[in-house]
Amino acid sequence: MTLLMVFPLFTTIYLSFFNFNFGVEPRFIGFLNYTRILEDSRFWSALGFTLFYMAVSIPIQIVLGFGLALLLNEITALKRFFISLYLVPYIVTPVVGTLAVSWLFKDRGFITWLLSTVGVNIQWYADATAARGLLIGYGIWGAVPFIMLMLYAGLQAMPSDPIEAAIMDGATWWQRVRFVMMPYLRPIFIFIAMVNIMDAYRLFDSVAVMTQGGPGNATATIMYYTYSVAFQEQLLGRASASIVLAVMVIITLLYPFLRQTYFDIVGKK
Amino acid sequence: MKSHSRTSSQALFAAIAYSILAVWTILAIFPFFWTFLISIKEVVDAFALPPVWVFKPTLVAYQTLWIEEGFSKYLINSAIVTLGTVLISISVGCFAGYGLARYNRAAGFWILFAAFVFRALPRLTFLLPFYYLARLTGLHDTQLLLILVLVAINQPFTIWMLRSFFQEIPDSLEESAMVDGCSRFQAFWYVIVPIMGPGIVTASIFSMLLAYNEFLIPLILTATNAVTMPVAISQFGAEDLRYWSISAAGAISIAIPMVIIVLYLQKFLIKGLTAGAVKG
Repeated sequence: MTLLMVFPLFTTIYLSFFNFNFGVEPRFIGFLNYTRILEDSRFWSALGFTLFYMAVSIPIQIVLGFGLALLLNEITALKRFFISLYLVPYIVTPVVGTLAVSWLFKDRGFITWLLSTVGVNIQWYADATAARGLLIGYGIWGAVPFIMLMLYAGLQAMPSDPIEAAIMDGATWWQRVRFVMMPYLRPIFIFIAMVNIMDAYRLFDSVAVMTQGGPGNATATIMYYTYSVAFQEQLLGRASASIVLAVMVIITLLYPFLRQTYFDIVGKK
Repeated sequence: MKSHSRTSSQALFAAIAYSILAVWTILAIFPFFWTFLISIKEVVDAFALPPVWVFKPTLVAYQTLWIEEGFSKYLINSAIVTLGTVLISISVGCFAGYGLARYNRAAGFWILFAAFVFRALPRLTFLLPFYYLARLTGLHDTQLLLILVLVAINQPFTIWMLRSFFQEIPDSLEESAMVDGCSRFQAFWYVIVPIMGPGIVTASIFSMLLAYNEFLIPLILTATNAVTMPVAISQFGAEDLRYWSISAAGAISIAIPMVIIVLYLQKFLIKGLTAGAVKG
């Protein structure tokens, strides 16, 4: 099983040093693929948009997901009802969710029309800022259910003694959240942050279905860029180099989280 | 007086809580509700502005989708790939997770690490070589290839998840079974697996969602024969207004099986997450 994954990983690294294509004998070209990628302004703009997307959407996702989990934890009636409906965007195939949302924002879509009745006319797919905003909004909408579910499960699993003790001590609701619940949920927050960083980093589905990277190159993510290099320009070697660079970036970003988790798990046992 | 102000502030809090939760419910459901409406409208009504609220529902789009466009082929592909992936990942995951929980407790971090690397690293890292090799070996565009790749991506995650469930079960349980004359395998199969129900269901749900929903892997590794539903629907010509209703019917058709299955199993999911995964 490991072979199935580790072998392709090394193959990718190996291929990144070749001029490599279908029907053409692979030719060793050293770091030329890497130089070509690093010289390509589309690579930098894709990396920039990906990081921007992560920086904007992940904090909002976590705050919203935690807020909803807290509210769900407080209420008594209708819990199952809310959870079931919140799960729907998470369960439904991302491509379907993307289509459903993208139709609302098409030029003849319901929300575009709704906004135009109050004088706001936006062509969501023709304007770079609007298209980016749309993808970010869609990303938040799609990621909140998972975060909410994990944190809600964490709150449910939490022992009630510390909270009762805090109530006895006269702690306000916010103090209980901040000083009792959040420290308890810390490992889950770290887990969620890691999952969401990686999910956001490999953003592809919604870009491919909603905007195809457009208008121009405004919403191309690093994965979408790599995909187009591999399958539109048919440069598999150069796409491999792009992937290797992308993986190096994400490992750097995740390093502090991985270190923390290592200490949490190994240090504890 | 004091208690009165407290109850009224609690009532206010509850009112605010319910309104926020209700607003998010509408946000979460509306796109699908709208898509459903499009799918049962005549094409003229589907893109009429302002929207037509009163209309005669029709199943023409579904008929076109399933009969003329032959959507059932993609459903069968999706079903084969999903079922294959879940069966293999869960059986391998049960044995490996059990073994690791019982014999090597320190392995936790490294499995978790592998789970992340495999499942969460950009798919393209692994896919380009797979794509090339598959084209060379003739495996390209087969369901078998999709199952292999999905299992490989999913396996460490499943092992990790099942392992954390197994760890919650005290050793004494199967030890007493073994004292009573069970073999280690019998103790595992007859004593441990049954109480693992919620854990196995939870891990199966995650595997199933991964396999059924995946887009990039089948997009690259299939061409015509093994195309799954998400890839098929994405290439349905959504730009053409005449296709709106048909695409919408396709979208709803893809969504319904998973929504029904997962909502039906929801109580296991919450129980499973609470019992195992969340505690890491």
